[in-house]
Amino acid sequence: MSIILAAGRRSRRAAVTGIVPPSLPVRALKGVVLLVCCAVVILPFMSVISTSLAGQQEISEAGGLVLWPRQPSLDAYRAIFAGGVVTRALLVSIGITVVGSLLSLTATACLAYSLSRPGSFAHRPLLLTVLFTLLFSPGIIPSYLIVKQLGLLDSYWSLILPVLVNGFNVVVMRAFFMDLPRELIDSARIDGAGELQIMLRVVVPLSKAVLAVVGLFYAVAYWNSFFTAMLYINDTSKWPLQLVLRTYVVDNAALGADQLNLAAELPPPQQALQMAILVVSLVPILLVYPFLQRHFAKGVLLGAVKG
Amino acid sequence: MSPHVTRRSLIRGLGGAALFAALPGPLLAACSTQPAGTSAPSSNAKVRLPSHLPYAGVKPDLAPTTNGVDAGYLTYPADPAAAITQPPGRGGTVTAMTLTYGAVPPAVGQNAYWQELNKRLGATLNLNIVPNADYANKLTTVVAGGDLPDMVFFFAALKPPQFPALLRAKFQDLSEFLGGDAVKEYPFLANIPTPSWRNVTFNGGIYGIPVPRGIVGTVMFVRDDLIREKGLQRQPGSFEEFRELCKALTDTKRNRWALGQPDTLLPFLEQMSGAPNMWQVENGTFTHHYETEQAKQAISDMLTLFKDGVFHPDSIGSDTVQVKQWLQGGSIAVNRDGFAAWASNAPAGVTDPENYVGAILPPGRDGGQGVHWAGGGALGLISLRKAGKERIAELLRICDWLAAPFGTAEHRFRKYGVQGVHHEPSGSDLTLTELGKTEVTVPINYLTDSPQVLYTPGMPALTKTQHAFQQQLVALAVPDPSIGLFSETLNSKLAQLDKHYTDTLRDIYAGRKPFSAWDEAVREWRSRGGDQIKAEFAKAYEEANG
Repeated sequence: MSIILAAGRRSRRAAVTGIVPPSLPVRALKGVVLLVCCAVVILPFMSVISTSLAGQQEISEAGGLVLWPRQPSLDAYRAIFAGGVVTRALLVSIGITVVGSLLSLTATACLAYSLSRPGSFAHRPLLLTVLFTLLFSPGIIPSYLIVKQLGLLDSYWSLILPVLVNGFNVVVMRAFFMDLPRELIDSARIDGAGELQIMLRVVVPLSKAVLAVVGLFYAVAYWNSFFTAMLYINDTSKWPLQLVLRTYVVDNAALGADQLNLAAELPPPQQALQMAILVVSLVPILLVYPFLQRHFAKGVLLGAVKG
Repeated sequence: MSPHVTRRSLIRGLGGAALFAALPGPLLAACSTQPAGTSAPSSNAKVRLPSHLPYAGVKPDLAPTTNGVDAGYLTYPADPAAAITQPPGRGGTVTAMTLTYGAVPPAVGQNAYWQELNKRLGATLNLNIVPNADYANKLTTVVAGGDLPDMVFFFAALKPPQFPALLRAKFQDLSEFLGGDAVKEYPFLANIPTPSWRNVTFNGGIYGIPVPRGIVGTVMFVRDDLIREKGLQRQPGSFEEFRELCKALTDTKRNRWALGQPDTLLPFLEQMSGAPNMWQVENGTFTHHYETEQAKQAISDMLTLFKDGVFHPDSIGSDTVQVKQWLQGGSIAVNRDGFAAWASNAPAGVTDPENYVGAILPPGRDGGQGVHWAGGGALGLISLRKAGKERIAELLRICDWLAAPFGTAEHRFRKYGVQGVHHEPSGSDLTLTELGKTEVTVPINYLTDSPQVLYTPGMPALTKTQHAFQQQLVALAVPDPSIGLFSETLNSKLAQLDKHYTDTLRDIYAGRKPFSAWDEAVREWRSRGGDQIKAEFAKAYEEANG
């Protein structure tokens, strides 16, 4: 039935557009290809989750990664959350991501808007400065020295202020703003609105897509960043999640290199533990992603290509 | 980090020095490393190393030996007495930069162990804990920032650029505090064996305190149960017998191979051929082990093993963690690893690892005995920032406390915390509680430590096996003559030069390059920095030996 319908549709569409839609075998083939693509994406995820639930014995037998745990247990998760270090780091990370993204978004939007208006104060030098940062970044040590001299070492602000504004995001947003019809802004001005009011009442409501995208860029960057924290934060109770988790994942390889005294007391972190960590660090950002993805592609294209 | 670099760092980090005195003469001549008298001990002749005064307060079940066998304990010593009566600190704050390989401890405010530690130290220990992987980066920034902590950990295998100059400018020369018998003031630092101290001499002075490690280093583990299953003999007597063993252990139908990774195996084949431990020094001239005929022989033996098909199919380019899992899971039966990894190579959950994992000695390639590359005796060193005499003495007292050996109350607290809170007695051993497992991770074991001992809770049979094996192994040990010498080129180009060798070796193993490419690789290594390293070592050697 459906095949007949589909065939009917095909011929009709072919009649209208002049393009013959693919036949059944071709579509079946496409389906298989897409299924394989999906499997390629999903299987690693599944094996990460399965391994995080599996026992050491099972992992050894499987040679590293388990596809389906026979006796799932939450031991690895219990081990991670014991002692409250990870829980605390999770809160720190969420705090930095939320506060940082909001501040970054505000600063970027203000800068991008002012740069999008011709004739604004110090327009050209400011724009060149922003573009300059795209090409040249300060080295680790100069950044460290500035953060230190500002007295920001061991402060949460050291994780936000040095990366508050990202040049690329400014360029994307500026391009988007420049694309807004000039007449809208002129009419707002005739109605008596000031620059700030124009931005808040007219520009921002029209720019939700690009704000969502840039916001997500910032949020992901804040969520994933560990290096700045490693450099600037000595107090381990202020470490964000990624840095705490990194000690489990990355350093495992080196564990063999140092022969821990009384090795039996401190078993090397196991594969299950590492995978549990991956899950813990991935889930929050995965939860946000689908809601913003709609804006994601649209926003970047709108801003960048038309600019 | 490539597996090979890891291996190299491991060898250098644990890497070896001073078994020389213990070596029998004929063996020395046979392995053609150095003529007697040019051994490592004299290479620091100008520096007066701290005297070695073993602590006699604790009697081990299995005695240590002067040539490098560790003390063994079958049970945890009951009711150890406090060896130090006064808190070593004077109530101030002590800052230190140290690393962690694993979980981060809860901050001092939420950590009863850390609070008690501060009380017992008589000082507020303010630690800057850095994940191992980022240590080099953080160290560079902290040094550049200029505000150094009181104590800084440096890896033996990964030193910052211009290291001796940095030490001279910022850190204390401890010679007057620790040189010769002055170390008696700090009995537990005096308990650290001499090979470990060789790692801390720079600029003709003592610039730190070692984080001691055994000189046993890396050994060849085999899965004993798989060998028994096939009715084979564990210890081969020559390369041919090793080859036969590998062939017999390979059973491709059951997904079993003998060997896992060529990078970690190569040193074992070199040891069979009698290659020098990293460097060979003859009349003040240094030769890298890869330049020797023995290394070439080992590579050709490796190709023989590849032809035999005894390697795991994914062996080339596999990483060390993966290979370890293969051994644990029984996919392979032979793998080299750090000595302390003995029990962790057994299948998960077994309580008698000595029945599953054994170790083999390097046999001579054509029969007889091979050599064993000794470990360096230290993971790294703790250097003290320049300060007044009293402050340095206080910091040294704290290090002394942190080096109190196995069997003292200080050691028990360091490793197990407070009884009833962090650990509970279980039989004749101690077991960490859940809180203990979380809180006792404060990484003070990288601010010096006591010499290592053989002790695995509840596994006395394993300790006996390990002790017996160490006795056989140290008899074959040769030291690395470069320990205690510094080469800036080696320091800055080690990773790059190592990669050059690793890449060439992998190409040869995989058949992408002919065996003859090796000679070209060695020539290139020399021109890219090898010759300079050799010259720098020769100069340092001459200076040290005056």
